[in-house]
Amino acid sequence: MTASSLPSFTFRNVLISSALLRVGLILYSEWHDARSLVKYTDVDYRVFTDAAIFISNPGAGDENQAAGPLQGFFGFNFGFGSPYTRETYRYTPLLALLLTPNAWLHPSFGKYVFAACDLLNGWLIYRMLLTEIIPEADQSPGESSSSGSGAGKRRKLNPYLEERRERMATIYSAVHLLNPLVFSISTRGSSESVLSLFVLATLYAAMNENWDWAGVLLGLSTHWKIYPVVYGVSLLGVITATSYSSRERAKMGRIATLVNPKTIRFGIVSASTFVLLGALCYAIWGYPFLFESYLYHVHRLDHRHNFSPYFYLTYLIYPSSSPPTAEAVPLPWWNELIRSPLTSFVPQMGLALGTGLAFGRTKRDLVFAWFVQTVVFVVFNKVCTSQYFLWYLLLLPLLLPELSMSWRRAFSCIVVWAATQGLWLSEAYKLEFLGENVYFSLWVRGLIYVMGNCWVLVQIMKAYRATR
Amino acid sequence: MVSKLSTNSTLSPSYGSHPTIITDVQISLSPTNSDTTCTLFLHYELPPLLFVDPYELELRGAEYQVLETRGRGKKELERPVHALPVNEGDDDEEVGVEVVIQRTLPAETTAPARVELPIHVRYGEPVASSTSKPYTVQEFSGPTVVLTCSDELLSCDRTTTLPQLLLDTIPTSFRGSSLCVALQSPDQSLAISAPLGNTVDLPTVELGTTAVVLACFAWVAWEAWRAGARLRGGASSKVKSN
Repeated sequence: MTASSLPSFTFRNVLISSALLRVGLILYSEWHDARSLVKYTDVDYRVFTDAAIFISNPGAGDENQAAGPLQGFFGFNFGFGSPYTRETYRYTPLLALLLTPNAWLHPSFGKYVFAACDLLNGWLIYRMLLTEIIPEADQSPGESSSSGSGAGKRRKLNPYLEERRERMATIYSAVHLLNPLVFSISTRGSSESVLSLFVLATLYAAMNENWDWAGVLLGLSTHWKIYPVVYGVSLLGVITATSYSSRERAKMGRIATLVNPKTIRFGIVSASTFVLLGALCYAIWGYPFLFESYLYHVHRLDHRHNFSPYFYLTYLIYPSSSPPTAEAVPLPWWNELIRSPLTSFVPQMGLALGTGLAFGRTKRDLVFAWFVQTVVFVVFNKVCTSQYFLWYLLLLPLLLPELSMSWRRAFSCIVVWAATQGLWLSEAYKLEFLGENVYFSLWVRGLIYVMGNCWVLVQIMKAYRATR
Repeated sequence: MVSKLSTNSTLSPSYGSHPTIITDVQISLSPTNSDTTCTLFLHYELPPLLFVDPYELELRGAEYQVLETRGRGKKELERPVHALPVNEGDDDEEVGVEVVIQRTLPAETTAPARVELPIHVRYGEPVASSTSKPYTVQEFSGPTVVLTCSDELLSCDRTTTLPQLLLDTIPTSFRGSSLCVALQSPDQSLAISAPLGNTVDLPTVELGTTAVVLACFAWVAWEAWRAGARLRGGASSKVKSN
């Protein structure tokens, strides 16, 4: 007997179980943290909470004040403090605003918000699987649904097929809802589920061909964190594919499939949303918002160990604050090129945007395009922590119905993905907790992490809509 | 009121990035009345390689209160030691962060009072080393401990010059004869071992990182092109069959 054949295995029950699990873990976190110096709650949650307290409790004079030019509206004083009074708070002030009830309602309010976003994400995944992805996957792997109508061509289904699709949608959405990485991260107080909600909502709007809403949600996602901007590239081709007939598209050149009245409108809506949100935050919180939310990430130097092999290079060449004791020897041009930020930026953005253009041609391929774009963005980034994996794991349940892979190959992918992390973590433990000098071997394992994840990605690309 | 005060500090563990300074303060008090209250003040002077997280210390509010944190690197929690702001003027470059904490004691106490201060280790400045695994050993002193009581204290050291931050922090009402000082013995200084990056690795790391990143970039780009061609070929077949 399999789980899927149990009479109680419905999406409703999976959702209820997921909710109870998260509530239980949040209650446990309160009990645990009150009794142990080693906290269940993530350090980031303390940062968010402190920022929320600062934002709702402005100080006297210049202390803890919102630094923007707009302090009030028609005589009403906003009375905001600055979340950036809290060191290491480098997020949008909207997140701190969202969590202000942490201060006056309950310290775990934010965790319940993140858990609720998890559940909403699960529901969105289920709906997209049931209404769009599984029906598409039931077609031949080489086929794609025709453009034009968002409703597509849905025939009346026999009950067996409908039940099978519901069961598959439940199983795949359970992959997200019951994923330990997902529920532990949200119940520990990481805010990734909020951004995931915006990304999935964007995808949901795109799948329903509500392009104005997709533009607004993409702008909101990009305001929250910059990386979703790459999804805009893949959306351009899909907008054209769904907005124009095949005859009209046959007359378009490659440029016109990306730049036409429909895509321009989408771009304007998305960019306007991003700019308006940024302008509002700047108006209230001023330059600290701009620096901490965006500019800091442009110039940040992550020298401490993380999965990315760039950490050791950054550490070895980290600029000193002391004046140099001897005149610096100019580096040869190839050395300057290697140390240039372009050497990391070009591969990362080249792949993130290039794969978006290559795969963003039909609505059916949108999830695949976003998945590949996110994986390459994470793998080739100059810093990588476990939380980043959520960005693409979020999309995996939506991709699974379209993957044709032997169990052996699938198992190999899982093993390689997990083993490269385990290999790195076992060495990082020696550095962080035993104080052993393992910088070089940790760097080597970072290279293995990059190669291993690229291998897994290549397997997934080969398995996508492969002929069975 | 007769009193004795001595202190002993250890670092646990003496390696890794997140050790704790454990200070046991041995106090012997015989208060003359039951209303006597005593307070311990501990002043830590950490080298630039070490730092505290003030927000983490706030979580220990049930044990003690942090009165003051200041100094080089107080806000720059994420930088390596050689990237800390350079002090201007005559400030000692060997001093990083200073911390003063306060702990209230029961009126009659003979049991040692234990105070634990969690600290963190920055990345040290890389060096060129032929051994390929260089380390640095950072020595520093345990905290200066001051005992103050509402009753007059006898038989204790009051001659040691206190650090200025401690003087500024202890309420004036607690000074004078109500004040005892204890210092860590010099032969019991604390030491932590921290690994350092090796600049000899730099050429290998530069070339290796670049080579692997570019190779993986080319590999993924090639496979993505093939996948895209396969998907477009499938779409073309459907159009032709229609």
